[in-house]
Amino acid sequence: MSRRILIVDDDKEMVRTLRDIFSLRGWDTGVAYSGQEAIDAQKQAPFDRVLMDVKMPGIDGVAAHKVLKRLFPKLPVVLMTAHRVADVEATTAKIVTKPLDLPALFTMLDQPAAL
Amino acid sequence: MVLPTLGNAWSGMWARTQQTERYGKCSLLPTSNPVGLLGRRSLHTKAPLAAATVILLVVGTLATTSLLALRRTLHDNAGARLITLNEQLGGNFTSSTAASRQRYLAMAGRPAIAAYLQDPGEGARDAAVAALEPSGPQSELTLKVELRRRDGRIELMRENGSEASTLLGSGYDHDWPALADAAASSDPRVHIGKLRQSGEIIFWPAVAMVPKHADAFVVTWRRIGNNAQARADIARTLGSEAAIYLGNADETVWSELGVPSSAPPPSTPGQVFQFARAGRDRMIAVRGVIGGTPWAYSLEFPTAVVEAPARRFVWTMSQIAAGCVLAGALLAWVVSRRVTAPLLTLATAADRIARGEPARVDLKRQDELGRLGIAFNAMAAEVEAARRHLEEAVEKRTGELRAAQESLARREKLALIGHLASGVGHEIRNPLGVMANAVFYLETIQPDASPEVRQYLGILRRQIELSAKIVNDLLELSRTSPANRERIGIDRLVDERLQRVGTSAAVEADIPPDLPPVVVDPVHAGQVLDNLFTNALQAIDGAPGKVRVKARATDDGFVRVEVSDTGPGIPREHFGKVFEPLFTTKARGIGLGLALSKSLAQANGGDLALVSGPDQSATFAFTLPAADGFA
Repeated sequence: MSRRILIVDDDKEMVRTLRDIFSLRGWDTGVAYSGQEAIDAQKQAPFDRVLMDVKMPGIDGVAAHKVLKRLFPKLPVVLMTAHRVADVEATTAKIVTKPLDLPALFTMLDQPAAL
Repeated sequence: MVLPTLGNAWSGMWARTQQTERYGKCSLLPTSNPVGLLGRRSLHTKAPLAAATVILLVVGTLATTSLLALRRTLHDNAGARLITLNEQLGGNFTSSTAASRQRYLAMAGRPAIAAYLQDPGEGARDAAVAALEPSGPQSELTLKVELRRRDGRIELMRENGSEASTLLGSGYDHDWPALADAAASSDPRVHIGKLRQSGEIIFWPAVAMVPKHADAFVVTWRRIGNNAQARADIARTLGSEAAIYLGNADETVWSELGVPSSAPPPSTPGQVFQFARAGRDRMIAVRGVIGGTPWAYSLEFPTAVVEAPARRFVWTMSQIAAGCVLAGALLAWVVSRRVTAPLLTLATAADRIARGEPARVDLKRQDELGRLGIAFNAMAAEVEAARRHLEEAVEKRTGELRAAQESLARREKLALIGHLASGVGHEIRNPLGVMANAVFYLETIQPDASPEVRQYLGILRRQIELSAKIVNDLLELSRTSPANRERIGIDRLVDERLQRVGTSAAVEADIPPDLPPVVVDPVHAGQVLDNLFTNALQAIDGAPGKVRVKARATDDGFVRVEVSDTGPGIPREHFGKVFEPLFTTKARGIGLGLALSKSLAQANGGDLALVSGPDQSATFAFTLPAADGFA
């Protein structure tokens, strides 16, 4: 049974490229384009990992992570940001910066204990 | 206007000194005059005037007092002389009159007259007329001699010259019995009659009784002489300006040597008095009486003559006074020049100081003015020192202000750029991320693609990575976090950064181990050093040059780290701009590094400066506060 990853970003091309890359690496991918969609998708069919952009309209990544963290305390969530890490609102999620260092991200996601 | 000038100059200097101390700025505006010296004339005009006035007053007072005393003495002397002369003259007149009376008596007693009166025959008549011949001195003044009876009837007559009949024939009405009685009651029996005037002629009768005849008398009419001899005699005796007036004691018929004149005012004989004679000067006079006659005389000198010595005195005193005034004024002028010349020198010098020019005086004197000059020089030195100090302070403050303004402008610019970079960076990172993902995907799905495709994908990937790095650097450089300062060794800071840039082979570090630790935010200081090292390494650009790092403690509590390279250096025209944000000479670079570094250095209590000349390679001096100087 392959692992499931939810990719969340309001940039549709970002979502598409990531979905294709993760599919190539054998992940089952789900996509969402906002924080609310991500929460709804996770409620509907829980994923093993969530890769989510910070800056989104409506519920942003940090807020959505808080909700998900409450609903699914053990769900590993990685937040992506185009800002400096230091400029992101305080959060317990792991943060990576864009452009993504994909090999490093793969390693991170393979080791959920580190998340 | 020496003193007011000096006063103004002094005031200007004083006011500026006050301003300097109170407000620390200079003003060239004219100021009011706190010294307030009065007077508009120059001292060397006033002093001679004052001296002349004083001398004039003193000499004038002395001269007036002396003149009054002198006049009093002269008048006294003249009076005494007049009294003496009067006594002599009175005696002379009386004695000569007495002699004349004897002559008249002798004439009346001639036997021919008595014989005629006894027997008036023709022969006796001729003899008697011959006997009426006048005798004695100046007999030519006798006008006529008559032999009369008591009732005035003429017995005989002898005229002496033609004018007698004119004078005496004009109906003179004489009280002959009274004259006869007056002569008869006199001793000797001669009566001198009052003076009479007819035209310009003054004349008088002398009545002598014929002895043993109570009824007959001889009348001699004489006139008063007017001749040069008499005048000369009086002048010789009394002086050329003296005059004798003769008249009746009852104030009628006065004349001067026979020339009719006004009568002097009535006065007591023998007492000196003054009066203004009509048509002549003021006179000092004494009156005398002539014994045996009804006449009086007045001996007179013009007071002008009496006072002539006083006038000469006044004239001499005036000359002396004029001389004294001139000499005094000249002396005062010379002395005041001696005083005012140094004062003018001082005033000129004070003006120069007030204008901000250096000025010293050399009065070449040992007196109080010399001391004033020395004091002035000391004060001028003080003023100049104060001004110099002030100018230095102003310059220093201006420099500090300019640096502060530049620093503020730099920080504002950096903050703006940071804000902009943050926004733009985010927007660019997203598409870069998509592109990177796309390239990764293509490389992953096409492991067997043609070399060209793989090469071009590589180009894309590297350019994306470069773009991402530029954005990262931009975000990192414009990061502004407050300085979190701590004690740290400069060697540690430098070593960490050299390891990071990684090419320590080209770097020569000269950092003494005994340097004091510095108190800075290690991240900030590291960023600055990082930037300096990166720039230096880029300047030598792989050539066999060197980057030198030299650290030294300064005297004023800093550690100064100099980073230099053997690159081409920085042109002089760029010196003022290297710390401006967005200034760069690099092909790739956004020109934030040095601006940010300077801002960070200043935020940590230090500074960053470019110290090399354009012909040398670039040397940047990074000063950091040493721990000992950190409170």
